[in-house]
Amino acid sequence: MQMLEIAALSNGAHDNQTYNGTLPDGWALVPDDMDCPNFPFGEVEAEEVTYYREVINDKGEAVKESYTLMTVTKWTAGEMPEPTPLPEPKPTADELMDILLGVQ
Amino acid sequence: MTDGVIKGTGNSRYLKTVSTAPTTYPTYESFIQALAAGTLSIDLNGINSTGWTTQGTKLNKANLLTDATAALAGLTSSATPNTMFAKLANLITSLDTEVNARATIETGSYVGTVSPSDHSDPNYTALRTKTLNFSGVPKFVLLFKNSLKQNDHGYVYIFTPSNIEVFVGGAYGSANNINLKIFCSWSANQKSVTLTGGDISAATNDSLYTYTYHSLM
Repeated sequence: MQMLEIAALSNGAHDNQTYNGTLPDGWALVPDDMDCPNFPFGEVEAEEVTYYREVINDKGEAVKESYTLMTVTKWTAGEMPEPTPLPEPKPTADELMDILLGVQ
Repeated sequence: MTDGVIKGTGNSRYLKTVSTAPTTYPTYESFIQALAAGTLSIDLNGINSTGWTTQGTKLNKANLLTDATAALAGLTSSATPNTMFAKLANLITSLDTEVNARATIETGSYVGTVSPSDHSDPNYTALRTKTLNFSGVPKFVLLFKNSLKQNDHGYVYIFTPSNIEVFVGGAYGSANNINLKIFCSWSANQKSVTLTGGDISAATNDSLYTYTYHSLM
């Protein structure tokens, strides 16, 4: 599962990384099933969401324990930056020789 | 296990004494004298189920430690529950030591956040840095800049908490190109690193790429 910084950078992107069990302050989980077009450029709404996990209590019984994590609840796609055109590939040695020799 | 609950009606158990009791203890006084001297012979002769609300789990070998269960831990039929507990405690300690000594790999990814048009952004210096957080202290980190386009290059960086700058490996080999160098600034606890591309590049935070990392801890 990915997480992102709720506050956007000055260019509208959100810092992001895979969640490793620790959610830094100001960050929120991105649910795996959330569609996030143009990620990481967009607007975020996040709120505390309750999750449940199974733990073993003092009596050795498996019980459900609740905890909350900031979670992205809405993603609005931002403007994706235009990709920079790739440079023309350099001619090969054979092509250079042909150019030098004037061979078509 | 089940706790036994007697009804308190005075009939929960049977006692049995020797068949010669009438001649061994012919009077009440001789009976009391033998009882006081600790020489009165009796057997606890079992449970009388009618005197119980709930019969408890029996404290016998079948319920405390069978030979088969002892054998699972490499113990013989003479093992007691205490022997078994000691054996289990040692096994847990050994397992903890073994697991703690094993390396773990943390894998993750991120999408770069610096767009090509950001070079003129007054915050570009801050924008092009990338901080990676780990759940522990990595022994080393492999960072891949994935390329899915022809005539483009995927980069691989390998760095450790002792590195402050590293050059790219992989497609460009170890090219001595300042744009392919990154600077590494580690947090005091070495659980996070801030990466900055050499020169003015966004080598580790380009929005056109997804980066993956594998940290060995």
